[in-house]
Amino acid sequence: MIGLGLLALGGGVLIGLARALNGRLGMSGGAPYASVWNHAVGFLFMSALLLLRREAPWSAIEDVDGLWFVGGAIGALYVTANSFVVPRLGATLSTLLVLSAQLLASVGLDAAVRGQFQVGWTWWLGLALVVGGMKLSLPRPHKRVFSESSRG
Amino acid sequence: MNAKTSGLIALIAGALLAVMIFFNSGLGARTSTTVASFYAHGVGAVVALGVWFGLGRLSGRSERSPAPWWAYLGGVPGALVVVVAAITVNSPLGLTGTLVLGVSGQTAFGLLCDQRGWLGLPRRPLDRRRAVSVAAMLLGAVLLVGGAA
Repeated sequence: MIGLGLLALGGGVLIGLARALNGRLGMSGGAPYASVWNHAVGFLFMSALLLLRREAPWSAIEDVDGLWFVGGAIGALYVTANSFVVPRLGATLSTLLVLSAQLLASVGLDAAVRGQFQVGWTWWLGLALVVGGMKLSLPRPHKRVFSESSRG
Repeated sequence: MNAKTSGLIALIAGALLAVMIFFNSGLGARTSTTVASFYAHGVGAVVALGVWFGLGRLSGRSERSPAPWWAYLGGVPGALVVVVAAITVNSPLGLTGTLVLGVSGQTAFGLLCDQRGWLGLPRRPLDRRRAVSVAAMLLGAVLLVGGAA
């Protein structure tokens, strides 16, 4: 169980690492450039993994509706947006904003798919804390110079 | 571009992430986790190329010097996440445990990057206001995970 916990924590670190590396690449080549490399390198990595596992990707998708492949296209936009904000907002704030919106949107998606919206009071408390934290993260007007890169 | 606009783009990124995960896990359920990630990255590479050609120089560079070689490797941890998540979500940790620990790992790593300027990112040490903001958002995110489960 401790091993699994560390693995899940490590998964979070991997997401943070990917976000930071793509953000750094975006600083030099632009955010879409970072998205191209992220997906090309990830594609090569997954190809190697499939080869290793002797898993053929062709036959598996014969009966799959094309709609399900939209995720990749959305991912390209996600990495572009992500790489754009990391150098501008910093890694921590970018992470927390992306995460909060992701958690809220997934509840919304779930509600849309299942046709019901059911959350507990702790969820509403969480929402209030996230919104409060967001407001606090905005620079105070007279301090704007320090929290926003001058070239942004 | 001010901080509000960047913040809005970050929120849009999060919403895109949720929709992406919805489709990719649907694809994974119909094939396998690795096959789904393979196609998601392939389709993503083609679409990203299109965005890159389309946006050209309107892409928000902030650094004149070329990127270090290791900055090109973001796709590796990104792809590994899919494999790790497939293990932990299907363990006693479940989706909730995976999410809570993942949120913690991401935030801790972000704090280290900002504090030390790791990986060539601009240094952004915490002041008291930012520390309170980070703590509120982190606790809020954990409650959003737990409260929706």
